[in-house]
Amino acid sequence: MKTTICFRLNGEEMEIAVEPNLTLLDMLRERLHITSPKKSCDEGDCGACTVLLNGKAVNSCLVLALSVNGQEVMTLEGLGNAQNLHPLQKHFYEMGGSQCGYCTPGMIMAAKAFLDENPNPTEEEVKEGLSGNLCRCTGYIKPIKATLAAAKEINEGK
Amino acid sequence: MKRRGHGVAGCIYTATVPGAPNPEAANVQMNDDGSVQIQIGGVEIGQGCRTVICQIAAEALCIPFEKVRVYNSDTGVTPFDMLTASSRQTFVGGNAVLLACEQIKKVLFDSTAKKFEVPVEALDIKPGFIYIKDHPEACLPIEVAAILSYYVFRQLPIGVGQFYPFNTGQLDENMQGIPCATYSYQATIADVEVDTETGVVDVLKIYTALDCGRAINPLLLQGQMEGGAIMGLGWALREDSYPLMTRVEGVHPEFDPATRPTSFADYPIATAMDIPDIETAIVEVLQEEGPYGAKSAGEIVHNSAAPAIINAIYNAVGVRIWDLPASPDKILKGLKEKQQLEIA
Repeated sequence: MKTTICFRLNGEEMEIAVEPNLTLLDMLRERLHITSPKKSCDEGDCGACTVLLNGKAVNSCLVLALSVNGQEVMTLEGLGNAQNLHPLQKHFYEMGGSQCGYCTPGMIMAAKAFLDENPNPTEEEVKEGLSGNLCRCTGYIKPIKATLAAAKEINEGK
Repeated sequence: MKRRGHGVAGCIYTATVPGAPNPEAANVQMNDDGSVQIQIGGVEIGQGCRTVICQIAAEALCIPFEKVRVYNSDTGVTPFDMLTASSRQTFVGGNAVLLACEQIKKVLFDSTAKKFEVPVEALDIKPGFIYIKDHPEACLPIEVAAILSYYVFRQLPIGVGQFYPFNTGQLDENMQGIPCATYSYQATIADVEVDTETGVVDVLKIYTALDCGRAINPLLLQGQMEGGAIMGLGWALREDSYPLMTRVEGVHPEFDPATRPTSFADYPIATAMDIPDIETAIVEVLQEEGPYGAKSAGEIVHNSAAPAIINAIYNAVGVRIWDLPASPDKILKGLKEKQQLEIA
């Protein structure tokens, strides 16, 4: 049986009928065609499906779609676009923060939630902030540097 | 007690499938607006071959990188490709694209020569233009040369590049000969700290150096090298295909599917918190036969990190690990055996 839920997705009101066992990740990817969150492990280990739920980073594979009723969801699509990149996107792009790019959307969303909470982090704190996002190809060096550079730019812009 | 050690390891790696002929083909065509599309078999799995192929074509045809599109990874639209393996895409794919670009350049030069009424030999190419060497002010935008080729001089700026590495696949019946066209070279130095009470190994620093000929995209390559070093670290210390397997000395371990990891929780690849400082060095020794002097990166970047770490452990505490990963239990067992040997 489907239940209709209403929530805000990247600033836009959404209304959609969902099954009780549908995850937020599957709803985003399969129903709403928002494909930046990636379905990798589908059990909360890898962080590739990270999105923001009311500003907090969550593994969208572990959140039921029903539970976002009345809440606010943000994915990479809502963070910026090619004409207007968010500082995190800009620095990941310019500093080579991705290799294959599969984990990158989740990592950038995790970094966004982390920087919102800790705008002026040390390198060690950034490492902890990104530790829920597994990456096989970058070795994390450049994502960490890009996050630090984005923090600096965001702070200078204030 | 914590003891520090340093370890070094080096390796070579091919840029072609060993002992095979390595055919590679690329279709390259310039459109009448000067943009270019390439069809090539090489599969992009994140190693960066699309980027590198684009760069090579843009460089060869003196057009902006943004004007090149690559269609790959689909046998429905690409020419035959032997396979995407042995880190061969830059070397064989790049060469095939270069050969196709030469054919396009020939058409463009031919059209420009007819337009300017000069011999082809009098022309040269620079970013955006084909020009007369002795009169550089007489130049034709490359897209105009393409339009003239299509609509006035009726010759298509299209190239088909087929590349066979010059000397691979020539093995005799005893499998002796030259297996590979060229080799890249890589070395890693690892600094580690081993806790002799817990057996835990902490990697403090990794230095990784690579000679892959011309680094076509140094930023991409540096990221690949850093990723390779961390992959090697995982191989050396963390990742075990059968972590719960009973290990019996001298007996080949039983691979029990029931103990196989089924999640990233059982198979702990390194996280951002587990990585040391990494210093990379790109050593460009140009290879004559490679596209712009390039050989291969890719797989080689991961090969020597694990042996360097294992050597560093030996250097620190004198325990030689033969069975990866070098988990704390194996280090402690090694330390105990060493102690007993010393007492005896």
